[in-house]
Amino acid sequence: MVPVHGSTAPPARATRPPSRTGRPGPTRRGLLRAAAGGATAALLGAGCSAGGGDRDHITWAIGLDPVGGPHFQRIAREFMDRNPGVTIELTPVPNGDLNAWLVTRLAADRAPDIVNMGVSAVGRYTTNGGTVDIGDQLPDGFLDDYQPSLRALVEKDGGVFGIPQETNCAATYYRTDILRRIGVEPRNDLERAWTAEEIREIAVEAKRVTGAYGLSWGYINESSGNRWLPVLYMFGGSLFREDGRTPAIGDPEGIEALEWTRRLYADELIPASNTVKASQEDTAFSLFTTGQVGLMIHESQFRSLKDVIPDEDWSVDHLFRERGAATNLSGSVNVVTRSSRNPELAAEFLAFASTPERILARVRDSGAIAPYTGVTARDVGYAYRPDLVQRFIDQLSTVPPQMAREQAGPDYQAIRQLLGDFLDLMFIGSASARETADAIAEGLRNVRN
Amino acid sequence: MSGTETVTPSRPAPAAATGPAPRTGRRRGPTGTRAPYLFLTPSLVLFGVFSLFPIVAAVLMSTQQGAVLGQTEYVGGDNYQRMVDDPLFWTALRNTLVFTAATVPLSMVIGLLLALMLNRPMPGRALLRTVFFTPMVVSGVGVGMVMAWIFNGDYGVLNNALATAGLPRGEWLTSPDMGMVTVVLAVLWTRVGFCMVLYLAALQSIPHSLLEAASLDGAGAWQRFRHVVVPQLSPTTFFLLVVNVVFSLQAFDLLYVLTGGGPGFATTVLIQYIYRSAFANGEMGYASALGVVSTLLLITFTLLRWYLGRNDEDNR
Repeated sequence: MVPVHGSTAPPARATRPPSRTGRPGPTRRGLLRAAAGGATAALLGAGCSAGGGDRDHITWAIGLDPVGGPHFQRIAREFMDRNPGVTIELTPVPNGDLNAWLVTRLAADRAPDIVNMGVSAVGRYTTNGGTVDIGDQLPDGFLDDYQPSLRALVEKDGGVFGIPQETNCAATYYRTDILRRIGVEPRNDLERAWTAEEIREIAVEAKRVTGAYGLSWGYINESSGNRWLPVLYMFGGSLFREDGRTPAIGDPEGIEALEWTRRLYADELIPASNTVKASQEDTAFSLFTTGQVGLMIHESQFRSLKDVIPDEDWSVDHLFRERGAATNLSGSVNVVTRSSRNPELAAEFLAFASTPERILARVRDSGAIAPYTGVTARDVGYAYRPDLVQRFIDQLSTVPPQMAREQAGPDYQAIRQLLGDFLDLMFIGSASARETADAIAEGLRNVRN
Repeated sequence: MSGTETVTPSRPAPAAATGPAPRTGRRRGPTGTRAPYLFLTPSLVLFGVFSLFPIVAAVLMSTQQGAVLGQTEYVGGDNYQRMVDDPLFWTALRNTLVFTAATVPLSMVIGLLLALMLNRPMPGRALLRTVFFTPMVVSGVGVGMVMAWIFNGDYGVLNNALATAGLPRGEWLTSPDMGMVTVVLAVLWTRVGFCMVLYLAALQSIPHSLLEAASLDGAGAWQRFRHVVVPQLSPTTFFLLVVNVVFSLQAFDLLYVLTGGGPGFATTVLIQYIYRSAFANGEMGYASALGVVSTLLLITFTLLRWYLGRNDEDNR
């Protein structure tokens, strides 16, 4: 056999006219062949690269979290070092696109083995079979130390459908300079937190001092209407009655909660740029840091305030209360999807990634709250203002159990959208509290029935 | 030009009469007849897989109820019936039509004016062309976020500039009346550059001899524009019209980021309603029905424009 290389190789097509570079030009057939080959390779590549593949290969979709990303990468490297032959591939997924992305992937059975998702999304996927039960692969009592509200999200019919990674809730931020001028002292006591009427009075005074507004609320987009729900529950209301089907938002307590909130906008204590739909990720913080409001209702994300305003100019108190205390529940959960080719290995990795040491390291870096009961800010060792994180940790105990149950339902995302729609209409002055309650109640009936 | 004068252009004689004889001896066998189909095949395959199949699947899904995951149930035309009774669908449809009616002609007219301006010698012409076109290549999400900062009522650039100039602040994103106006302004910024570039290319391809002939016939600037330039731009205008309508009917990312469909439902458009029905509410059947209607809307418009355009051609 003659080796065909170098100058010994005959020209491929001696009769073909040379191109302007002197080399033989591509033929149409050659181009078509190359295009067909490329397309086939691309299709095959696309088919092989997505979703759970080899039995020793785990794909893990995570959000675009600047702190979480490196942390998850570190954990993946540790696991691969301990398990030669196993590979873990991290896939960043923009948070806003998670649903569209994941639903279509699951439908095509091409979802990653593990997905890190927000707590509000978990209910849908555990209910519709998008995630698998990993309870058998976890050590006994693995979730015993977790917050009950978070356990309610992932435990279903005796199975475990995910492992909470972190949590968060809302409390009241205040500008110390503005409160000093008003002459109001923070309570710093969960049981004696300001009442709804008191926070309104403070907001009125703050508006007088700022010359703009009194209060900002941590809405971030049209799906964040659920961040109003603590008001409903602290006024003694609820979305549904105990049967879980009959809307209860039209009850007197619900109307009272809606009316209290409506007045905040009608009196321009909250700016119109801070309604559910007008708000962006940083709207509430921008209003707070620029001194246009004296109070802000938001979650524990105050690391972004560092280097923006001096520490002595702001602080955090517990969320106001009315007939009872309440706050919202957020955070993230890692789940194993039904597309996983090796759910046992994925569950083993999840257990490895979710040891208390690793979870505490993550929340220490991110400033979020550990998903466990009985863990204080001192236990975690937060570097920045641990005393304020502790207030959020204390506040977490006021998550209404019924609200957490609703959040674990399959339709919670539709409910969030519904709340966003009709609260927004009320906030811009296009609907009364009663009309809003009726519209939401009708939507809730449609969702459940 | 007088209507009585008949001008018969001197056409070159058919090639067959003077040129070499056609190669009639060449056998047009199966390869010859198959060749067009072979060349069409890649396009047809791509169209079938990525367009036709999804459309057929969407039509089938529109007759079902249930999520994409889990159980589905055949419901016939219930989703379409529900659509008729759904006030939010009509709101979204109306908003879509208003948005389209505002963005399409405005972007084309402004694009044409810019193209006419940049078609004549002027300093910085190349730079200006780039500047006008750049927004087209910026992602809609990025534009939405920047626009949200510009139009924010409390700390936005625009209102601060207005306040500095002693003018009243605008409720750009917070008033239901202004919401759509703001969205249209934001979209125009991204789209006029695209129209400008295509019109510019079309303007430069108009033969000078036509314009000179019109001048010799005594046509003024407006008459040259109206009777020479505009007809010559007709194919580009038709293309831009269809493409811009498609863009407007599919406008999603910028609106989603900028207003979230608000204030209230003031800027909720059909494509956004489809998205939330599918992915927030998990109602794939209903979302598919909305998608089918949206597609029909687009096809109807395209056929209508094509039909009217054909009549124009016939009358010319």
